[in-house]
Amino acid sequence: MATREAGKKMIMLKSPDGMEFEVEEAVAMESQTIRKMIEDDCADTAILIPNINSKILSRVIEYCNKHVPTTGATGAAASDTVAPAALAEDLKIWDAEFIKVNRATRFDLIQAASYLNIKGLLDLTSQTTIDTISDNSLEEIRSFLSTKNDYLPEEEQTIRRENQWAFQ
Amino acid sequence: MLDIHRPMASQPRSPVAPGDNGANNGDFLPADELQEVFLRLPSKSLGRLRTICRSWRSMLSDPLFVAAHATRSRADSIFVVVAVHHPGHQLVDINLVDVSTGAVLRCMDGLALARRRFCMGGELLCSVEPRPGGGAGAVQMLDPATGAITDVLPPADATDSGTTTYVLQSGDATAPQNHTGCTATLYLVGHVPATGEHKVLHITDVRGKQACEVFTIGAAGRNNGHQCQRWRPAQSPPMRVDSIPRRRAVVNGVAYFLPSHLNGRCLLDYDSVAAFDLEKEEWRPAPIRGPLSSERPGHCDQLLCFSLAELNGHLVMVHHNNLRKTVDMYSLSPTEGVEWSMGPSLRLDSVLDRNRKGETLVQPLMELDDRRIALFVPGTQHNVVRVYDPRKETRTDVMEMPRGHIIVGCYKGSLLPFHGMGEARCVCG
Repeated sequence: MATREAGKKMIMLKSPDGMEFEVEEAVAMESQTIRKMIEDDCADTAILIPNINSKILSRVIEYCNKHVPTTGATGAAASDTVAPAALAEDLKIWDAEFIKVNRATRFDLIQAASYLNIKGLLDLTSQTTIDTISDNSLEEIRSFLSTKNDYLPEEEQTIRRENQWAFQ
Repeated sequence: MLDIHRPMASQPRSPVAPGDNGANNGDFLPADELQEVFLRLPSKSLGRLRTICRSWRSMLSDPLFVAAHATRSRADSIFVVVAVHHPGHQLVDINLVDVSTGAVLRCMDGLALARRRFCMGGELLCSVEPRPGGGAGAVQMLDPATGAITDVLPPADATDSGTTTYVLQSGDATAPQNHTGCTATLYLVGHVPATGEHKVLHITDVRGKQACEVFTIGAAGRNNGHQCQRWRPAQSPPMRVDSIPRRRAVVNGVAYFLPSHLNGRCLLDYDSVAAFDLEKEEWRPAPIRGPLSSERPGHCDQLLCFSLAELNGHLVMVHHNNLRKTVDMYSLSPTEGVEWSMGPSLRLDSVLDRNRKGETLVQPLMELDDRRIALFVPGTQHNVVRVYDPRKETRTDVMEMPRGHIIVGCYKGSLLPFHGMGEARCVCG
């Protein structure tokens, strides 16, 4: 189902809930998983992306569209006149807007980025979690990531002692 | 990472069963993805996270995870190993210091290794016992993160297994065992990526010529004890190499050296680099032409204006350009063609602190994640480790080092594997 449109090779991506997205091959290949499929020639037909619903997939495509190395016609501002530094700055601001989503969506995006192997998106989506983990108390981390402390008190002390170096 | 999903013509178009479609019902991150996040964290955070709950502890203590974290985490490669000598007591402390903060994260205090020579490379810290006559003897491995000390070549083996093994060869002549004039001797450890081994290289002067010997520390069996463990003689270098630590570096299995002043007039360029391939255990036949003499043959500044460093996996030639008052860095491209490319050029005015006495030169230690550079700056009273931001031209001193404190090297291991891994499995059943 790969088609040509305006000289660019297009790829059809399908979400499990039946939505179809037509994207440029270059955009789709931001995902190392899809790149591998295309290079292995097993992507003649549409590519079904399991596990990622249409809402999340459309956001992922939005991200890839923005981050594909610009050749001028990807919907992003043409880069000919813009300095690379300014472009990087612009991208940073765009990323910051992009990631203003609720926690469930962000976790979905992490899963999607992990499955599709899109390093930039994984870095971006993980960052908030990383910040939370770095800055907060253990109790706050537990509540943020929905885990429970299942150590016995004496066990916890031992483990705490073992990892004392990390608390200094 | 999950396997590549191969779409097939017969793939049903209908949505997959609910619950299997991966959409989050709550705020829960599955283990695979959690692991992706954890891989991006520094080991200190991970050490704390081990205390969160049992399943996290088992995940964070899994050798596969630890290995993956060690290979990918650049956030961890920010430690320097400092040896603190206490000459009065014949003792040495080994400290592992976080370069970005100056905090001492681990210390091995009061080691009775004062006569030994320390060298660091990859994730190995070794101490070698020099032998009378300039040869190298017993070898120990120290793990700066755990404090474990392992005998790789026990002193008994180093002395018992026959004299010829340890007599250094200098050209064709058999070296005398009690020769005098042994001036400078140097030890270095390098990781050999091709084999996963570490090798210790020892270079010393024998009758006015430099002689080399090599010792291998196996990949799997760092503790493979007595298996063919001995010092092996190797070729002499193509020029006399310098024994000053800042004038050598190991990058990707090759040890690079700048020339010694003892080359005299034979040496044309001060920025020539001799290269020893640790895997093949041989020198590149001719020195590599340096970045300055490549552009202007015959050009030379002062000998000690040049130093070498490993930054970000590249060999970097550091040139203190006293005319322009800059520290220029050139990096060697890893391909065979041997070309240097100009890297950052730091203004001496902004790098050096004029309020500190005697600061004239800087030696890069490592590049941090945010492109700041950690530098060693010797001074009259104290030496300091300084973190410098080339873009903002700002500097922060993170560690003041009194006399007797010596930077042995940069630690590239993960701090993770070292606490309670065995027990973790017991607890988690």
